[in-house]
Amino acid sequence: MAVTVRLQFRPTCPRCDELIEKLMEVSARTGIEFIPEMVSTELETHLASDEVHRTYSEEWMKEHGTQKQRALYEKAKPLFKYLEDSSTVPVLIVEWDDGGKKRQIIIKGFSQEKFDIAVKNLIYMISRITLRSL
Amino acid sequence: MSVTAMNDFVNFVVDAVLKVLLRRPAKEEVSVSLAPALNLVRSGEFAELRGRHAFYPKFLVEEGMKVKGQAEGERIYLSWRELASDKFFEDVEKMFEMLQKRKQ
Repeated sequence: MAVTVRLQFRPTCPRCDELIEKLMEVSARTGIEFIPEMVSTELETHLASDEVHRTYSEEWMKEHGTQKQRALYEKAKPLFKYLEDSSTVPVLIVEWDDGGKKRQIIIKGFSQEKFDIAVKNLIYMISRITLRSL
Repeated sequence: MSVTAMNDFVNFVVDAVLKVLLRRPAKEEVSVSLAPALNLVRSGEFAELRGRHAFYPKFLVEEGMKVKGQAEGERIYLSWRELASDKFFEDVEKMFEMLQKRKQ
């Protein structure tokens, strides 16, 4: 099973650079395909959007959201609208083909706390998908 | 009735029945666009038809199918905090168990 790891980043994001460096190292060691994708409207003419910010929209909440999320959305509508317009980076997307179906795990956000544990968990997850030890 | 007469009679009946069953209509009422396709089907050469359908496939969507929901169900959203937690191993195992159940 082929696994690809994509990272959606912005050029003006210092946390993204740190994560890109680490993931480059991981891909060089394990042979996992890693693709950094620039997501910004600053340099491009077309609207580029990340995978996460659409989950704050009203349509997504009504279609796929849980009851708790819907209740929260009605309470804090202006906040969600602000989040919908802004984009959250970095967004890490682990993508694989499972018997003709494309499956995705989307991880949003980044923090330096427990950075090593998170990377270790990520490698474990990918090894579980490919059914081989990395 | 002698045996030869009996045989002749049976042959005559069988011929008549076969003529009725295997008759061809003198003039077929088929539209111009369908005629070449029907000829291909009759001659047993489906390759051209098959190719045409391969390039222009038709997808059937039944009523009540939730295409959007299925497409969204393939995605799992996590936060970095969840990825960095110690119990992440258990969550991953549970997730793959669920995926295997869905396959079966």
